[in-house]
Amino acid sequence: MDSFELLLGGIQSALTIKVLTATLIGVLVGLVIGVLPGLGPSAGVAILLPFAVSLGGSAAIAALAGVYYGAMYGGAVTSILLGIPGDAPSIMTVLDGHAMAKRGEAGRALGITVFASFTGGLIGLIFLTFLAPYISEAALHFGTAEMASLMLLSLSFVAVLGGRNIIKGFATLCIGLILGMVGLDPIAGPSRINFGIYDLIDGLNFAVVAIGLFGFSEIFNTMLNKNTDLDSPDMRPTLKSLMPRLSDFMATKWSQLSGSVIGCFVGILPGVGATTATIMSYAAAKKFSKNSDEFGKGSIDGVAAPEAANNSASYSSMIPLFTLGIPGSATTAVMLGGLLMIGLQPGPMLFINNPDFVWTVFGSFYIGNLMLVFITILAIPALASIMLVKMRILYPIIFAIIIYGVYSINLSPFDIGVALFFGLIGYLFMKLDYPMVPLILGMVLGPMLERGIRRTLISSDGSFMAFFDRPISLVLLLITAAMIMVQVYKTYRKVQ
Amino acid sequence: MLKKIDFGFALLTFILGVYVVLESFSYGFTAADGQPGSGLFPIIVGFALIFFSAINVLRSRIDYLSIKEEFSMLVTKRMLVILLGNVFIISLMTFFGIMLTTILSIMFTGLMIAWGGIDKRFVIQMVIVSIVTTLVLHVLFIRVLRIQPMIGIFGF
Repeated sequence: MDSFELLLGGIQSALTIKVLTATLIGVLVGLVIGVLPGLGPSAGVAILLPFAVSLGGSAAIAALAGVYYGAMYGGAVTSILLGIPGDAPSIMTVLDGHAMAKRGEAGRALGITVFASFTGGLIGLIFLTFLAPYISEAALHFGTAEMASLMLLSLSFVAVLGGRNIIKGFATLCIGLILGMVGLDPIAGPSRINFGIYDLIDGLNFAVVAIGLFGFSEIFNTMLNKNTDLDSPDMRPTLKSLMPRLSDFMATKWSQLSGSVIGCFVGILPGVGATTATIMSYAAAKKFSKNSDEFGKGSIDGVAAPEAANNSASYSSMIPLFTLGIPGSATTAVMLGGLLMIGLQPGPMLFINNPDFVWTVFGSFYIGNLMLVFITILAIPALASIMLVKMRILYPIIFAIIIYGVYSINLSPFDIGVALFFGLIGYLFMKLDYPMVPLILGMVLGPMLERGIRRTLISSDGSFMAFFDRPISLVLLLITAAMIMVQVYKTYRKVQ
Repeated sequence: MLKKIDFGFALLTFILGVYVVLESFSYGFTAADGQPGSGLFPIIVGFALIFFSAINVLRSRIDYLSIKEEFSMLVTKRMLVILLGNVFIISLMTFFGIMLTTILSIMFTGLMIAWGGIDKRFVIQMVIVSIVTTLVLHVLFIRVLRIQPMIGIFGF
């Protein structure tokens, strides 16, 4: 039977009270959890797992998937309103989303997030439902050398994002790579670069560093800025600015489309998909924009592109899960647990042995994606009105949310101290014109880069030629080299 | 002042790079079986940081890329007071528990932000906000999400 007919059948099966209710609960829980700093989609899926499993069948997976994309939107809310990335893929949204919120356009930023998430989700879903088996086969050709080269390409985007201070950008990238190495060596085992501190033997948590670097530093910078009266009438948003605009959807259509397509193809790669997809989509949108100078200062395309990529990547990251039984992220790993707990083994046989289940789940994804649009559109004015609260009241509350959020990660007060330390670092970065994004990217992608390089060298008996012998890896390395050289040349010409 | 801090920060990152390289030699560039060791990647990154930091140190001395934004000592001092004050309050979490620590943190931060413009009404507002916010967060994280709280000497 044709895939389209199977999908229609699946949507029809998903339109039952049980599956609809499960999807709605998942989306609402995901939204709330995503807004809380320190908790991301993987935590949300894990928290709802026992309840979801009790529902059984396709309702269980519909609920878990609802948490996944609900939490991603929740993470975007925190990124835009508070400047705190909820998880690694949300980092790019902070750059322009929070800048828009600060100039009173929180509603616009949240609105375009909804539209872009829907577009990205829809395109990602189409990708998932119609191309899953073919893309999975192609993804199997990505070995350790290709993964390492892709990591290098992603990190080289710091040259694009670093702007004027490309040297400071690379310096913060190196600091990020070092932070990623703190703790246990992923291959050999010894604890490295822990400065003799017991609590660092296990390494640093990304969320703790990100919350400190982006959250605390932003609080320090904004609340103590004598040049800005944050509660003055000029700074406070109007009711109109709290509302999303439909015209923004059309104005950013190409950024949404490009982000979605990039998210589809890059998101399928295990472990790195969503983060790398958002970086690449942001860089592509900036590269081809007529107003590239606005990026980083509140460009709406700078919000649309990474959000579309994030959502399409979330669906394409489920392709290896359903077709090969291989989870590509922490969230899909928990979902794998959910599938096993309801008695289903994901993989090629799932489509053959349980086709009704698979297509009903896919159908629920389409419904959930649409459900999220209506729920979040209604919630936007309420969410955006947070910016109306006086800063002297709002910021201490945000402080408290961060304390609980960071504590909940490892149940350790030490993490709160680490977050405060990185708040100081982030504040210094702002004052000294060091870009923050490369540090976080280095911390997230660095361990994967190291694993890829070392595993490739182990399998090739120490020969670096392994990176150049494989065509995909070679192409990625050439693109990386070209990008860095072009950007260095452009910066040199500008300075001259 | 900002230029001195820029120089100092670049120097610190340079020292960090040197530390990482020296520390990484103890992990080994190659393992006993000749395969890439735990020190390979840190050494490469450490040297890269030394290189970029050295350029930043030189640039900061010759003011190559002028840092435009002005730097207020008063603002920075207030920021440091808020930062160090919160570090002190958080360090007491094992004694006072997460609830009381959070209440103290909210009140301290709010009063420091409003320093110079504090009135009785604002103090009362902060007391109410700190207690209500902490209770809401406690219910959300501890009761709903079932995170294990840190209980203090007062039993909460």
